[in-house]
Amino acid sequence: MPVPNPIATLFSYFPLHTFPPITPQAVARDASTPTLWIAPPLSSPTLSVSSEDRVLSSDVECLKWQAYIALRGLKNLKVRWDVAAEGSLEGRLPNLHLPKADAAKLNADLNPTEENPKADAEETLGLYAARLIPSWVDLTLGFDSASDALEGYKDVASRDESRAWVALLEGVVHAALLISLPQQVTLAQLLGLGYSSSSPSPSTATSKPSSQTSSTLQTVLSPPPAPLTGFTSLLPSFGTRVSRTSVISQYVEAIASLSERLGTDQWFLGSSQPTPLDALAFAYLHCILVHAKEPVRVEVTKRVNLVAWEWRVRSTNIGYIGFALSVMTQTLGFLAVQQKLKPSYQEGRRLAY
Amino acid sequence: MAHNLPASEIKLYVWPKLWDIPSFDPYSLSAILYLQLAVPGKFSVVECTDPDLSPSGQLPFLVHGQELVASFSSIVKYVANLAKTEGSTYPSGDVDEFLSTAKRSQRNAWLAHVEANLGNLVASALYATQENWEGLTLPGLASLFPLPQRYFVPQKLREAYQPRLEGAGLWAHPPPDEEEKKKTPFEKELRKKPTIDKRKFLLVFQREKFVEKAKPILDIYSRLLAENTFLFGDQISSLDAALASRIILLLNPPYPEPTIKDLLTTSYPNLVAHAQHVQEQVLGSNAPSIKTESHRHSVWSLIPSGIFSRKSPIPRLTIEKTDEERHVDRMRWGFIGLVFGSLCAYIAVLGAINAPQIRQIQRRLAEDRRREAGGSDNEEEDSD
Repeated sequence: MPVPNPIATLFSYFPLHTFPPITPQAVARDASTPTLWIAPPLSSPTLSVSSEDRVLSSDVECLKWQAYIALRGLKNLKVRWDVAAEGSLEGRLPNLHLPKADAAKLNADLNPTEENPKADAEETLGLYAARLIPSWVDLTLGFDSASDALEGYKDVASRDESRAWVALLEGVVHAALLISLPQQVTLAQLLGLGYSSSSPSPSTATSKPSSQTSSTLQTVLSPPPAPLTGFTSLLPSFGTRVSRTSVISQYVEAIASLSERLGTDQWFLGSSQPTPLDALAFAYLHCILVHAKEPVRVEVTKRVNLVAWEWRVRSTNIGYIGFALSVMTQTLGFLAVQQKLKPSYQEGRRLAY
Repeated sequence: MAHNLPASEIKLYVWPKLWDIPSFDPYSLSAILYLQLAVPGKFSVVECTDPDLSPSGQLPFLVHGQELVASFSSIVKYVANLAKTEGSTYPSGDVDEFLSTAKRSQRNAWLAHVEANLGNLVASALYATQENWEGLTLPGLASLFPLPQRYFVPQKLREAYQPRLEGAGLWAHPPPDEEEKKKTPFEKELRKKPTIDKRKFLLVFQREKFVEKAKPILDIYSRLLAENTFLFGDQISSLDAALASRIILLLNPPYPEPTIKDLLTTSYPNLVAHAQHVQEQVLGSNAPSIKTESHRHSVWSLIPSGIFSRKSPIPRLTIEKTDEERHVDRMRWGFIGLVFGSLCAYIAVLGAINAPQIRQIQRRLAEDRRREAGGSDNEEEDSD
């Protein structure tokens, strides 16, 4: 049945344009060098101009792994920070992106019994979560960490004690760092309802939503913080009630203990070589010195040995490695579909008008 | 300003007693053990079910005069400081006095480890394991709270621990409910096939996972304690109180799911002996008795404390005001009275000035209504 002329005339004012389908690239571009995906460094007036500081992530978790790799003596590693955490494996940075050859070796090492390893999406991409970084470092250096029962510490007592220091750093020190980062003032704070975890200001690199920051504090603090609405009130649980005074008081004591324990040693717990504890301590000290506000930052600056230790480790061990700065803006991995979509969308809009 | 301060007594607000343990909460129990070591007979325990009274929103917290101190480490620090400031009243306030500076720093680190890792085991046993939660913890907690809080506060306490335990891999997800068996005409076939109890497998797997997580943590403390009586040699410290409180909470409650209890008694006898030794020394028959009272429950606890701030465990002081302050108060109330009086006078004067106009308008409205009513009556008469 033919369309009547008046209706056809009306339809002619609303032409239908058809665009070609947008297909994400199924094949990932192989990385030429091992690359660590990290949270972006934060540009801050307190940061030095040197290039090694500009590649140090603003996120403690990412910086910890950067320091670990550097302290193990690995070179020729690139970093990139143009991938959001949502685009990474398990939704958390850092991730390790390896060239195909290195990825195949690592897969063979991780699954030695498998003769024909299945081509998993992650494995073909050569992308690995942070927990596999020690395995890759061991493989690259040709060293088996599992054979060293002391894990680099001088004795069993030091190895056990390192667990305690890790708990201290990942507990109250991490909580103090979280609450000292620049944040947006919330209505709850203005109303005097106590501290409520809010999203950081846009200037920070890790723009976690407030729910994620709240859940981080709930996993970090012991005991877990009470909800903002209280346990006994009729209102459902909402927000996180954190006593800044209490956290800062415990943090001050923690930093004093850390400084006392380090003393004049080259590495923590009197180790002769850097250990994972040193990488963790460096990450926290650097983030506090660079990103935290007073009084959290002041407590570390009061401890001369901690400041000197952080400076020495940064300039001699981490800076010396010289992480090659590589900001890949033209992301062509399949996890960077958003980047591909943006120009296509803009092109579509241009054609429409 | 003169203050009439009441006699300052140390009051420790803690979660109440359950299962013959002074408190079911490890932080509260650690605080009780520590105060019994530091200031025996000079403090009282207030069993409280309202953690919103605390400045941190969590129990325990300590009240001493006008001072309010929350969290175990802050309580230890405060009481230790009392030994310096009020040494005659609290001579043994600093239990860790014998520790060197280096050992104190290690103590702080170990305390963080105990609270984080061993605390996770205790929380997992109490809140995460479904059998323990339904069979022991929930009924126990519900018996502590009045209506209507017994129906939602225990669940809120459990939810507060869930993110932490999930992150540590210690949260036991409840096994799926048994699927309803579909009716088929081939019931004989169904009877022949062996049914695999998925629930049992999941429970066994969860137990194994829990033991796998618990062993490395307990091994560390077993090595740290070794053959010593206490963690730092022959003298008891605050770290011993913290460790013993968690071990007691893993041993003493009658858990329906006793995996961790069995693991402790069979594989870690030195930790069990240490906890029993500390308990005997601190809470035994030879130790001074602890004064216990209950906090009176208030209906206001149903409202979030931040909004109205009605709750405060600190007693109000009777403050005598000076002449100047009384004068300022009088002037303040006088000013407020003047403002209200002026407002009322303004409204009255405005009303008086405009009263004739208002009466005129009211008369016109009444006349208009009468005319309308009269007009409609005439229309009805004409139609008739």
